Amino acid sequence: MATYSPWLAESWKFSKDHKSLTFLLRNDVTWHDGVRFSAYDVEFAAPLYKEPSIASSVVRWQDHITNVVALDSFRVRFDFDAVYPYQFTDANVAKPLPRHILEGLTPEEIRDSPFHRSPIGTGPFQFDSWTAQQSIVLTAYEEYFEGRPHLDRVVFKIVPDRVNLLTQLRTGEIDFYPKLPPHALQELEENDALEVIEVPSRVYYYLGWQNDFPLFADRKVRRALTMAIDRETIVSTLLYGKGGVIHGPILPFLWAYTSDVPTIPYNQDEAKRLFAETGWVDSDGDGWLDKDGEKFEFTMKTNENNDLRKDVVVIVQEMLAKVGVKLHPETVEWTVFAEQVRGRQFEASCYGWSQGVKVDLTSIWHSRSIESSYNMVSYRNDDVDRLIDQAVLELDRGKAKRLWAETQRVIAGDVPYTFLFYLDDLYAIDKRFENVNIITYAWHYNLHQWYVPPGKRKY
Amino acid sequence: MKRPSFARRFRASHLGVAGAVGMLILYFAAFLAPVLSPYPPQEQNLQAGYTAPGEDHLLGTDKFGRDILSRVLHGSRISLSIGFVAVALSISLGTIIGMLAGYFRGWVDTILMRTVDVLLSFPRLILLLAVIALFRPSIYLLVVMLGVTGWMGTARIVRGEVLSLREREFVLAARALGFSTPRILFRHILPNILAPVIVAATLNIGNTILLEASLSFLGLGVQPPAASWGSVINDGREALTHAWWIATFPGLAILFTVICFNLVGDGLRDALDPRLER
Amino acid sequence: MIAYLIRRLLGAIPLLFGISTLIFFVVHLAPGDPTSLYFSEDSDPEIAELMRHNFGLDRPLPEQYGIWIFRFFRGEFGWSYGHHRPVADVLREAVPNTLLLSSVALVLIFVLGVATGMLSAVKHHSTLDKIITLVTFFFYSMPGFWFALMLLLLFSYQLGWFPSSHMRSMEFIYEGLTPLGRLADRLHHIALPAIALGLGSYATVARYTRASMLEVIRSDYVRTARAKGLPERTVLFRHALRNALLPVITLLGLHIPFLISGAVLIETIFGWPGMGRVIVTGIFQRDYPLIMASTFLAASMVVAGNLLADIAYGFVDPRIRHAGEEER
Repeated sequence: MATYSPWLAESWKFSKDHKSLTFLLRNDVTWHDGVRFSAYDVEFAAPLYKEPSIASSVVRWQDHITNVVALDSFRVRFDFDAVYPYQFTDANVAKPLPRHILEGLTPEEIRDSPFHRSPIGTGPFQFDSWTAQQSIVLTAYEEYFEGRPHLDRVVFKIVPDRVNLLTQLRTGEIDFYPKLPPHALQELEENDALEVIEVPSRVYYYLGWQNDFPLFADRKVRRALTMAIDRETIVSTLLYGKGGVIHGPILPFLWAYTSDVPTIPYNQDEAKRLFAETGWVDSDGDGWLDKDGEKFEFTMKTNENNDLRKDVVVIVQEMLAKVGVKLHPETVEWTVFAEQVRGRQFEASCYGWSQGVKVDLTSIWHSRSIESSYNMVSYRNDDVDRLIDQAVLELDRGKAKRLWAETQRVIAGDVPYTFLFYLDDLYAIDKRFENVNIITYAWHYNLHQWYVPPGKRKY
Repeated sequence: MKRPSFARRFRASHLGVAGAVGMLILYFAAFLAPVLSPYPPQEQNLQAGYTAPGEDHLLGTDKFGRDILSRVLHGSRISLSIGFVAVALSISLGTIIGMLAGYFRGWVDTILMRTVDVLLSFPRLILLLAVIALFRPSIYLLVVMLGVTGWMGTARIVRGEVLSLREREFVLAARALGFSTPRILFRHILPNILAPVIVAATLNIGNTILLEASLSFLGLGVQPPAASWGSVINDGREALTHAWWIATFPGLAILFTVICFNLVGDGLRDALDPRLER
Repeated sequence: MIAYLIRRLLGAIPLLFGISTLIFFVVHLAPGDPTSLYFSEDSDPEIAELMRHNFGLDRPLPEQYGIWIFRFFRGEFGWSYGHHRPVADVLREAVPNTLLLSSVALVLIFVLGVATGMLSAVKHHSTLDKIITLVTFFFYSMPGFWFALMLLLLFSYQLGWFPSSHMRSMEFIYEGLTPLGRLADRLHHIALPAIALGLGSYATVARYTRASMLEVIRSDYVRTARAKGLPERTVLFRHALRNALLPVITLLGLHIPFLISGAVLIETIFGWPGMGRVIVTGIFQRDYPLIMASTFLAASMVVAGNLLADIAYGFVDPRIRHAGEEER
């Protein structure tokens, strides 16, 4: 579980009824233009995140925040209309904006303001320039409240293709490559100048079976399909072992994770037996399972711009063919995929989720999310609905953990997805950098502490 | 035609003959792909991913351990058929439109030729990208779009030919005899413009194969796990730095094919009509 | 000549208008949703609805078309969904880069193409001629994007001689260079993409120049010039080349759409920040205003290129300059 430590706020305190949260801010922080950062900047920014015309991606996180007021220059209070475990997180997602620059503009004007092409903040690096499709340059902010960062400059080079990135890593044109494809590991091992850092990512991949599609309505069939897929081999070959097989909807690095869920081992004979139990056998000897004259075949959709997913589908197709199941792959472009999947217009899909800081299974697993959110496989289980509704309100961490564990067990047992694997993120970095500490949520989390000893400096 | 035998004149062009031989080899290979391929093109061997060219796999394997030689051989069927069908479509369209424009002249001609101008003034790849990306990519859409966007050159050539033919005695005579327009167009005019049309078709096939490869390369071609040459190159692109063979060999296959078609096209052009030096 | 050009120019307007309308409806009727940018577990589906409303995508299509046309004629290209800023700004940055790449490629194509073609024609039937013919034939049949990949693999990755992306070195390095150094830096960066982009057209130009030259050399007035005892150099360059160039210039005009198509692939491969990449990502993101404006611009560039070719043709061919109205 991510914990919070003081940064812009020195300390904070909840009111007795737990419906107000007051932050005491540092008084020595300045914006990059030298103006002092204050509670009024927080007060100014907060309502913008609820503004429909701005359509902030965290608008939902503001649902229970009714009011944000600056009590004085350095104290700001958040008022809530409910008590729930993630109040603190919700109060933290809305980042402050410089009131002295944006004040007096309408939300639409703020949304479209040129400010966003040359923003200022309060962090260790300040914006320097942005050349479209080429690079973004940040420079050290001398007055940073934790002290000037060690690096003078951070250049984000925009390189559209992995081949070019690998080339530039090899020639030393770039020093850092986040999210390295695993197949590149081998050739990087030979490169003495580089080090590879592995961090578990927030991302897991799955095969989604449309529970409303007659073929997949039976849990046994979904179980048999899962059993026919050798996930360990996918991880060891496609990911070069950089990741791990998962069996439930919460990733191991989250506090609510439990390993105590029903697992489905790879066993093609057992899979065939299960298919037979549900009436699917190869009665005409053509190599494909059939029942009542119908062949076991379906279409699996995935999106064009994700190589890994396309690869998974190609492998799964081959694995299912061995038990007599015919999979027709269909890769569609991202915009079309999103539209169709959101509209639940698919039989099976290969997709992935990136898990956030909040543990909340509502949007994906609650039956209420079938129409309104991301429960695209139409999964319905009253027990799960009830467990989720309880767990999201449970303030006691221990009790919440038990509720989430039970939820994971029920979901894993129902096999609405074939959970595939989580990924490790690989970061290649030039060895001359020291103090690099990369965490799951952000590789740049301690960028201001990165350091190159004088003898090794290149620029 | 009173010219010396066409066959003899084509044979005089050594390069054209070489191209024709190459073309025969290609079609032969495509036809016999299932026999010639050492492995089924879709067969995976995950433990043998990215095997370099060697004894087991003459041209190496891709990340799934699929044999590149087998995939290139089978890919030839898809690439060649796409080229062939798309060009058949575009050539027929071009011939009909060109004949109509040239024969009727007047406003028919103006409208058709204006349309040609519009389509020609648009970068074809971008047009294809837009349309194919916007609809569900499939091999049929690909073929149809390649055909529908490729007829303009032929239409121009045909129109030019027809403009001069329609004043020739035999056409005037046919008209005086009261033959129907379709009959004049297809019986009398068409046989006389076939030569440049065939040349254009041969040269177009090469271009179409290149274009299909470009589209597959952008991920808008045939759907996996089927493979055209372009999509195999696309597969190899991400692994270019450590498995060069995946992208290299299908590229060579394309190169060889296009060279053959162009050689034959040139040879045919010289043999059919030496004046058609364009 | 001028009247002819004006007529061509006016004729181009309905042409461009027709293309744009066509694209508008194709793009809007196609499946795919621009708001899929907001599809993630962290963001509520409600946001997609909000954005659709903000973009005006919830209005009837004819109304959207009316609004678009009205704004377009006033020179407003609209707001790019993907870049979150005015389309005009996006294009203002991308178009010059594509023009730069295409012009360098065009110069390479023309100069090298004509030189090779000339050489081949002058040394007709020599071994050199045969080699040139073969090599240009090879290039002519090569898939451009594949050639680009091979260049990248060999010269950037294996040998490290050329950079694999970007138009120049990073700002802080570039700004420390002398003016000459900067020029060298830019040439260093443009070399591979320009070569990859120009290759196919170069081969075509070389082949045409050769054929055209051979025809002209055999013509009566070159024979006359030679008979008059003019030096071979004068005959070749003054008389023959000038006439041989006519079809080549038209050809160049016709090749501009190819260059722009090619730029789509080459820019993607070499990370060149041009219009090709903008168009491709625009199409994939269903960034309607950006697709509309950039395809319109691409078509305009082609029309302009053809016009330029006509003008150049007029300069080289005195008959057209005098005849004025003669239509090709």
